[in-house]
Amino acid sequence: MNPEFLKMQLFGAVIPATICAIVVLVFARPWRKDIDSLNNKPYWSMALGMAAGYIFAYWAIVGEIPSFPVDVEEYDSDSWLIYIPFVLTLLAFAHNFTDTTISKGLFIAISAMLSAWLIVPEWIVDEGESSALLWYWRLGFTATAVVMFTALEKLTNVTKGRTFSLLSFFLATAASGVLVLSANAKMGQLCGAIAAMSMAMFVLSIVFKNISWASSGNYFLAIVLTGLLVNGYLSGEAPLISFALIAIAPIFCWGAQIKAIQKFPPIAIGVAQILFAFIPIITALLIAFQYYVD
Amino acid sequence: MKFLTLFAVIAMIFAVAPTADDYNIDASHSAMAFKVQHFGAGYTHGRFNDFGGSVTFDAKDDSKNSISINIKAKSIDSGNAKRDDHLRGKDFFFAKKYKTLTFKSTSFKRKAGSKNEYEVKGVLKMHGKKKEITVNAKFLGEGSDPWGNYRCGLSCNFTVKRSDFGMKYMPNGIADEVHITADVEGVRKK
Repeated sequence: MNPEFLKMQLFGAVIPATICAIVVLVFARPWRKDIDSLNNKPYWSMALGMAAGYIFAYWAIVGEIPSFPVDVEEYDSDSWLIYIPFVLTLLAFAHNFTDTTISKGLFIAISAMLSAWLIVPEWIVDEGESSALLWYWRLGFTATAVVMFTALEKLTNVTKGRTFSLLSFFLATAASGVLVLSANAKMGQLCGAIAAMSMAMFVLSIVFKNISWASSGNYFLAIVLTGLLVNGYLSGEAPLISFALIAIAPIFCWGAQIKAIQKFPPIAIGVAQILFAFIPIITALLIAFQYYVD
Repeated sequence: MKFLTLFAVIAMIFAVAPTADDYNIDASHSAMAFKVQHFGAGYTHGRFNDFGGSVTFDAKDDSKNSISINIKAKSIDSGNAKRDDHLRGKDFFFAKKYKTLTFKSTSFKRKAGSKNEYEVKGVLKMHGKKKEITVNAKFLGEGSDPWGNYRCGLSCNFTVKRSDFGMKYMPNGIADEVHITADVEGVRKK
């Protein structure tokens, strides 16, 4: 195989996934027997692992890491997405002390609103124009991130399965496809790195049953994936519906909560959840591909 | 009466005199082209189709010479529509955010020992970043066309590093150095 292609896969996917897995193993130590005690919840380690893997992937793909605070004239607003996951790790860590529906709702709403301020690019409004469009996008980003997080988090708690790292893999892979088709190759590669990290988490969750996607992977996915999709649409060449369908795909997982499916074993329910999410995911890819071909 | 005649003659002289050799760039007879090496192998060529600007040229007095060019970033054309979408996108020119490329000369001096070659210094603004560059310009000639326009031509060559302008995507696949040729034909302002 072509060495350049292998190098791209190694640095853009394999190493970020390995970093993510190592961080989770080191900090969560999922082989421990006391893993379920309140103070040893492994949630935040996955958020930290994905943050570390993502920043490495950014460096490997872009060639440098923008210094903090990000100069958006030089890098554009989506570069904030390399720092935001570390803040999300703190939120995930805080769930060791408060793990209620209200705290989760507050954390995701506040983090989404603050992220929207940084991530939605201001250049979408020309000089002298009303900033209403900017506010619509900030509201849209916040609402989408909150809906995606809530849909995934509630389902994570209901099913307690391994579905979600696998679902994240498919979401990120589809997002990568739509971004590449919309002429956003760099962001497409970053989504590829998220897909690789999600697959690593899926493998870990098969080996260690205590690996939890809740309140960690879900924060990362809701903010970072939504951020990449919003920026991808605003700067790229593909219909909005393609990006939106991927963002709302987690809602479709709830289709597997119907009584007829709930009678089946957990693995079948997990498969059904992913199959339901495939409806918007495949539709999004088909629309983006059709637009690309046209 | 004599005063009126003198006034009329002066008015006619000013009406027909060239306005300090100011030219508008005639985009239909000009080209903004570039080439960049791909994966260390061949050159990929491209051009911008939508541009304009002005030239002030005086063959006898270099201090009056200047050139100003505005290019619409979204008009990039590399002969492949999909590649053009990518070049217009965030990974390269980011045309939705940085709508124009501009060049404004700051000095325009004849090269020592040359009749028609000039060293033009100026500021190139691209991808939101400004950088002073040096352009090699050659005055090609001038003359009238059958429709009463007076034209002059310049051929300019220079090389920039795209990374200097924040365009850093695909450093292994696309060379940092981009070779640019701007062949400009101006129509003297009336």
